[in-house]
Amino acid sequence: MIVPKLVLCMATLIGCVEYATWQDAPSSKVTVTVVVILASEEGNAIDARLKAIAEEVQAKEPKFKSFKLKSMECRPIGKDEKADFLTVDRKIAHVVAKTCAGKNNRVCLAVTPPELGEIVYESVCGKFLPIVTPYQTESKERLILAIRVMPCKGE
Amino acid sequence: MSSHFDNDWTPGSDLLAAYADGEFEGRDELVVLRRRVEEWLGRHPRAQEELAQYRKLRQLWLATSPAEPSSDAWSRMQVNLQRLCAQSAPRLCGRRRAPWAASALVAAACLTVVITFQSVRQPGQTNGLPVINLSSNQNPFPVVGEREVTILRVNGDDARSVVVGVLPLQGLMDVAAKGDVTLTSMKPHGRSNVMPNVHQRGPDAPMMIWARTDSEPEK
Repeated sequence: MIVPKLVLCMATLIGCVEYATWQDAPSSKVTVTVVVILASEEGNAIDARLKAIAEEVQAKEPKFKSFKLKSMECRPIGKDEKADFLTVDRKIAHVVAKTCAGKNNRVCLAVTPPELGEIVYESVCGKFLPIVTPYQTESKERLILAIRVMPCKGE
Repeated sequence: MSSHFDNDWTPGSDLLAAYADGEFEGRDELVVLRRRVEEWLGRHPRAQEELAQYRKLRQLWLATSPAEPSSDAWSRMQVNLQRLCAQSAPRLCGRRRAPWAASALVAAACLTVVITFQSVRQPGQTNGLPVINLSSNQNPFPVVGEREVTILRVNGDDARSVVVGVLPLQGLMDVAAKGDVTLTSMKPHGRSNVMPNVHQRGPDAPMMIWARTDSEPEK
């Protein structure tokens, strides 16, 4: 049986972190949102909510034809607190909220997607960072994670 | 005692049920049939016992039946449901509408109203059953508002079935562009030491982190 190669793009795990002020109120939490996306070389159905990500992925790899929103999850995370987000096939994405030194209106995250090393970055709030992972399901769908943090200081 | 009727005749279950429910009473055209059933019951004590148990159960059922809501209560319920459906119109009324969702909601609402009214009884009779007259400030079926529930996790296919609540992703996904995200560090992973790359078509285009598979050429 020919198994078509499906490429999983992992959209960046973006935690929406309700981060009032890390420095002033260490107990404050941010809300991390993780959207799990599966990209496939088969079909042509693109979820309307994923239009922006699909365009960028297809610009780099046109072989991806369909994009499916697998799941979405939102969770409050405290400073230096680790949260595990279930993606597909029992694969876990780890997210840790950190303090961004000297940065206002930004949140720092340390993200460990499935089959990838730790990625540390600082981000504005309210926008998703897609991470295309190398992980593929048995159906050859590529795993993409999109991560958002909400809200930032002062919001 | 001699019988006027055929001894081999046996009434069907529906006939016995009709007799037990009193449907033969007051109907002259069924007098002969009623007597025939009674004669058969006289010859079958076990069936008589079952009939008595059934009638006892029926009396118990009638005694514990919930009060019938008034028409005013039903009208208010319908208004609330229409308002709720209108608030959730973008989710339930799109191209991929799940028509069963609205029907299931109405059925669940009706069932809940009936159960709720069991604890509220007032004197008065309508068609032999007590009637509940709720005051104008009583809501027999309180429903949470749109912003009173936060959905923490939902599968993508099920998101459109959520009637109320704030979803983790509302509407289109707003993707970060250059300047919105600053990478601090990235670590390789696995035996092949896969290191992701930052991909961005232009300064205003969305950015993403891309980790290729072993079969994808390095670009």
